[in-house]
Amino acid sequence: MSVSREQLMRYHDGDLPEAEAREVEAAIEQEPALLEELEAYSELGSFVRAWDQANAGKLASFDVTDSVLAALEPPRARVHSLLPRIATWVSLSAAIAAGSVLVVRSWSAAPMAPPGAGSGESAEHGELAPPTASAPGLAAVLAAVGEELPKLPPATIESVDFGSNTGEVFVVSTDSSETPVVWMPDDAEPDEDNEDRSESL
Amino acid sequence: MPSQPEIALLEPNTDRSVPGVNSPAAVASNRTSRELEAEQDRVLIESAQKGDKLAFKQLVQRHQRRAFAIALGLLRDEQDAREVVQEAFLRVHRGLDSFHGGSAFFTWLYRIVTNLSIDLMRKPGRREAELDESREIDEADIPLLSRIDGADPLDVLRRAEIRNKLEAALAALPVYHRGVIVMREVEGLSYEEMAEAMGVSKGTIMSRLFHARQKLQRALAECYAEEVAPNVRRQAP
Repeated sequence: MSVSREQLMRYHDGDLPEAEAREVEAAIEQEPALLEELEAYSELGSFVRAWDQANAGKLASFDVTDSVLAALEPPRARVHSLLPRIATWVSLSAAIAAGSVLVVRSWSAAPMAPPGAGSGESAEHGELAPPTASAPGLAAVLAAVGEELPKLPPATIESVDFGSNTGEVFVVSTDSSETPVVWMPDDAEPDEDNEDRSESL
Repeated sequence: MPSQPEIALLEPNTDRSVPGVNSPAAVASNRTSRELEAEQDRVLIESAQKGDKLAFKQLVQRHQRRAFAIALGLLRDEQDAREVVQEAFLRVHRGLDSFHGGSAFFTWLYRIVTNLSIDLMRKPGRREAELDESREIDEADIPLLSRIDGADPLDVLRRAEIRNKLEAALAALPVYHRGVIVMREVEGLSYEEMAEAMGVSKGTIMSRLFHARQKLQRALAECYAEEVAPNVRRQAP
């Protein structure tokens, strides 16, 4: 029987069916050249495996498990927490709201309680207290939002007796002018404007 | 979360000393262990398909080194081989649902590794790892096999020389030829398994293997001659 090179290689690699393998074995016994060729395959295999042994160290330490699993993790939800921003905006909003309330109240309260008006005593040339005195919270609120309380021009107060009522005359001085203001408190009539303004808040 | 398959998982055959000739007993043993391995893989894949991360992790652990050996054999560059293996497992994970067990898991994995390696080699500008033929032989480079079976220093040097020549010869082979050599001689895959792994017919595999062996044998012709001479010399009184 003649053995093809393909058959010999398949025999070497264990790919031949049993019966065919027996035939090849019989042929090998009769032809030493076939045995040499078979041994050459085996020799080459041992060379390749010996060459591969050089990679044994690399193989033993090779481990990509963690990196593969890490790559499979969904991208982490970015913890760009909005909390700090929300807190800032809430604080700012609260400050503005509080500031607005205080401003409105100060507008409505200031005429009701001019210096000396509550006690009926005259204030001789007294300095009108700056709004910060009557509304200390406003300054704090404005400071929180980075604003400064506007400086009001100084005012001179003159007390005038109108008979049944006591009033004051303010002289508000600015750099360019002086504005006289006559203040006549009227407790009986509510300030409708102020009421409306308060309700609007 | 699906429960972990409660089977005693055997490590895949990591025995690197695959016999050169597949005697019937060796073939049977190889086939049996591969069948058992394939069955264990199937269980793990089913679990992984249901979202069991631990099962997928085990698949990676079981096959990563052999996949690396294939990639390293094809690419001859450790870093490239590492990247290819990582990417291959990511693709395996993405394609888990499409795997129906019609073929063995490792042939599927090898196919991905082979394709990725070939793609990488085709990339413009990629230069294959250069072989330094003139480098000095470092004792650490000499395979353990050579060191333990050859007390004769000349033997050790000769084997190191064979290894260098073989490395040069493998590097000169087309990648498909290199692939079949590594899969057959190192991993011990059958023709059918190689055909599945490379996506070609069994006939093509046989043809590639035959031609690859011919080329290597020609490249190592001197070594073959020297391989006989020392034995003759030793036998002389």
